[in-house]
Amino acid sequence: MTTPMGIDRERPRDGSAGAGKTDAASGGTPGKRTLTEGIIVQRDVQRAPASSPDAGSDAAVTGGTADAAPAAGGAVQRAPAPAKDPDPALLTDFEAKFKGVAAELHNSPASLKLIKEAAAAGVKFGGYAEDGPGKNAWAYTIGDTIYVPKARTDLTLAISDYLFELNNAVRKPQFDKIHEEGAKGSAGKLTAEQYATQKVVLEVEGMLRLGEIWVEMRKGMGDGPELDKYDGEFYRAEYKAYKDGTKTKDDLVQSVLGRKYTSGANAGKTVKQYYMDQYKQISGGK
Amino acid sequence: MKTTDRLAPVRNAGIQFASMRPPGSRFAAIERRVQVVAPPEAVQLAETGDVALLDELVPLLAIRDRAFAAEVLLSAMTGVEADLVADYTGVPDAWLDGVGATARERWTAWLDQHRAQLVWDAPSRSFVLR
Repeated sequence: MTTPMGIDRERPRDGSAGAGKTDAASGGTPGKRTLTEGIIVQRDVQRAPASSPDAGSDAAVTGGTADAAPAAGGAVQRAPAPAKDPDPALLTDFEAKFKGVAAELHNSPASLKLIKEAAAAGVKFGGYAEDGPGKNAWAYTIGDTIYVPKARTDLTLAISDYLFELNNAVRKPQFDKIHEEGAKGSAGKLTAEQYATQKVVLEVEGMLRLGEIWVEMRKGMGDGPELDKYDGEFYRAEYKAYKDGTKTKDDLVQSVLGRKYTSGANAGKTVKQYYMDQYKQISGGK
Repeated sequence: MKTTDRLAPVRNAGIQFASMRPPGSRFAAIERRVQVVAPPEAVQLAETGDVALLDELVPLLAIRDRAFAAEVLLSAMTGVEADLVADYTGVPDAWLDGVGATARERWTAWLDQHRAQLVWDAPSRSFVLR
């Protein structure tokens, strides 16, 4: 939250040490505050700590400070601070199998947002991939349940598997819509090229989301060069280029569309060609 | 076992599959694979490595309560159309009324083009093109 008075700028970025401080405690001048400032401080007091899934979101303004003007008809009472949102089962179940992952994920508000979004969509963590119905050592999703292999003894890689599956799960409805529209062919709203592009846009948005999460997680982990080995898993280069302004989202989309398959039935085709062909196939050439 | 007997478990009502990102893929969604996980008879069927089974499955794509199950098996056995399958769960009316409507024609054309090149790859539990 940016305010004309700049009070929020005094709060540490992680929100932890600042939570519960008053202006006076944080170096402000008691008695000089306006009502508006008081409300802002109250927002600050009630802001969830960084370890909460709600970190970074605005808390409701429910009361004033001691030196704020009283409400008509009575004294201002400070509302009790809301209870910290518990982690969803989607995260606690993951933590139960991979001890320590929750602390790393709490370093990233963007990851907590993704987890909350996935939990709201009904996504569940099913346990180890080797023990699940798929019985293999890759991360996978069955219906609304995701599985991560216990072979992932490196927690950061386990987290990347987990986030990949969540990221995929939350975008399923959007992919479905594109497929349904593509199946209509020229009677629908998409040309073959738009169909290919929209599929890749979703992919790129997922990449950027993972990049953002990783950049936040890295900071919490000390941001040292020993973490560079994970950058590729989380698309850090693509995210950095996007954030630095050296590449736009469209640049990234065009880059993915231009990649060629190197093996299988599609070897030699670009991603764009593959999806334009798919459009023609699923629409029956309509 | 007769052809018709072995296709008995291929029904939308019982089919379950996992979707996954193959190792080494740089994508989260667009290169996913599918693997049949239930019922056990369908799992076995998908791992027979019998190329004739692919042709047997194609006619089921025209039967509404079996079409999606047939698509899942075909996709799991070849890696083709996995992205069109992976996003659908439960009763796939959206698939049946959308991309499923032309599935029989697509698979007939794909098999005509690639059947002779298909070889079974045990590690990936699917056919690959020779």
